[in-house]
Amino acid sequence: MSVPGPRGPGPGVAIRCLIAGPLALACSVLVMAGMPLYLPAGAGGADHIAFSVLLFPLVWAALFFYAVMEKRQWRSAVILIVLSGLNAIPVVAALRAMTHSS
Amino acid sequence: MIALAQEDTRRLVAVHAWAGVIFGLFLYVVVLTGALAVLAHELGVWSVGGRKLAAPMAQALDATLREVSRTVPEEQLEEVSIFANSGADIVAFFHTHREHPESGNIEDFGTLVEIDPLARAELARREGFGRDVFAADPAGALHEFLVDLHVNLLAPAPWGLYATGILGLVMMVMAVSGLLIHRHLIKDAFVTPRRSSALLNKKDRHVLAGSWGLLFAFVLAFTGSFFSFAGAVGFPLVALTAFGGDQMAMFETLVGAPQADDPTPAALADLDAMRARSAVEAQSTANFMLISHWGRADARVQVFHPPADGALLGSTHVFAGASGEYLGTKPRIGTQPSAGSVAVELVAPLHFGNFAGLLSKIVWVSLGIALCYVSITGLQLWLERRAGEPLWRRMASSVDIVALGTPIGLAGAAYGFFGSYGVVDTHACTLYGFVAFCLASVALGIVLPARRRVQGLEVLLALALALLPAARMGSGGRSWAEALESGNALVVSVDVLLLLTATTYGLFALRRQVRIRGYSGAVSAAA
Repeated sequence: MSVPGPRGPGPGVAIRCLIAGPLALACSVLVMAGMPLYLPAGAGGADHIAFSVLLFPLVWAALFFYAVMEKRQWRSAVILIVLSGLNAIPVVAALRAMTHSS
Repeated sequence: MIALAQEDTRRLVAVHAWAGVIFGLFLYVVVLTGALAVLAHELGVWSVGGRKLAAPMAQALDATLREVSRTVPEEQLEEVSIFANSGADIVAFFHTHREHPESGNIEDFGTLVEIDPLARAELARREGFGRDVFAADPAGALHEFLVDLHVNLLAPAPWGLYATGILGLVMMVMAVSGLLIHRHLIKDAFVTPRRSSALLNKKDRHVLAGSWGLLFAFVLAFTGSFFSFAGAVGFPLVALTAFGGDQMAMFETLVGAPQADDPTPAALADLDAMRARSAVEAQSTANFMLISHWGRADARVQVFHPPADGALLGSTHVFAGASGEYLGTKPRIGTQPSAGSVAVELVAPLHFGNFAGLLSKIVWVSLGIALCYVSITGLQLWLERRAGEPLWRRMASSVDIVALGTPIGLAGAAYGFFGSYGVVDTHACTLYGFVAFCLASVALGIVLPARRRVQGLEVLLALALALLPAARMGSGGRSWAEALESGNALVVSVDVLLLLTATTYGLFALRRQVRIRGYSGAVSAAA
């Protein structure tokens, strides 16, 4: 493993940490919440729920490494925010439905 | 080998290193307690000196439980959970649900009855909220403490669970980044540690252990973070969006349509016969039973089984309580067998390593300890390169103290358990024992000079482990002869393992002493 040694934090590192850390985590939670809408329910009718929750750690890892490796920070931030916004729609809709029904 | 640009590799090395530096010690504690928690059942049996019989849930229980059911308030027949504790006594909790005055949550409230499965006699009885009556049973205090430390890091719910979940995600990051930055993974997995310098030797050992543990670390991180987030966040949130907020539809899909309520009195069918039938279906002995609406026409009995020999997954069998009719198996998620339910069920054996009996558990414990070694050596390598800076020197002492103080604290928990078993609050004393021994480790680590610190902690750990078998027997546990005679070889095995580990750490300390003397001698000769 003859790789260059790690360097200390530099300019932009704090922003990248925020994108790869809290933003990627929030985004992966919202993607998990939105996933049942586009995953198939399967013959047992519960696959979309089971796999959404199961895939959460992998979604997080994918988003984290994307945010770390993306050379243009602004692009990773925009993609994660858009992804979060799109997947937040069904969550908000469900919460509104629950509020109205109660 | 994965080819990466130098800039990408540099960034991944930084992620791997900083994640390790910030979270490494927490990960070490979680992985070490997790490795030991794989043997939670065995340690529970050891802590109470063995079991009075091998398969308590295979004994005839129907008549005794029926007799007990007549002595509890009728409302507590709403739900009954039945299982065997570490000492192989049967625990039956007859309960209803009511609001807890302190938490405001709806919780189980009822009567817990302990039954001797051989004498078929009631041993003890307590009434109250579930968490209180279960906490009053000292038998599970040690292994429950170990599991709680692993799952919650002693933090209040649900924050401890979230913290360990985040640690799981960090571990996944470290495993994936570790995999990506390995230029030669196969070669690294068989590297011979160089002896030309102590630092290179440690680095090679770190790479060697890390290479073998990468896949395991990924599996543990994935399954562990699933466990931390699935119940508290994942399933409630996903179910919310999947059914657009319709809780009834969600309940019917995940659990099944609620059966018609029928409070007509009806005697419960023979529980032993139902258990025998489910044992034939599952090819294993039941480990848990749940009875709802005991004494009513709509009673349901669920019998839970561990995996049969050679199988990977356990099963749940459902019976109509009044007639004893077999209704089939119940998937973990949903009402019909599905790929999703099987996938979720697979998470447990992969995390607990219990899919091939004791053999797979030993492999899981070994790989877990290898990961502990990787965590600590990774930190030490980072710190040794920065030994000139005061901040990192202080952290180096913390690494030594946590690395050896955690197992010392766990031994302290066992002393707290044995010192209080059956006398005072064993659950509290187990925690106090852990805290006291951790504080002693910290004090010793601070007081001793740097070159004696690790040696002093190793001696303390060796002594703490070596005296545990005597403490166990001193608190009324079976002697080796009694344990072997009663078929509890497990108790002797754990004692021997503790003595061997103590000897190993004693030898480590002795080797350090020889090195220190050699160094002092060389300094004197030079002077």
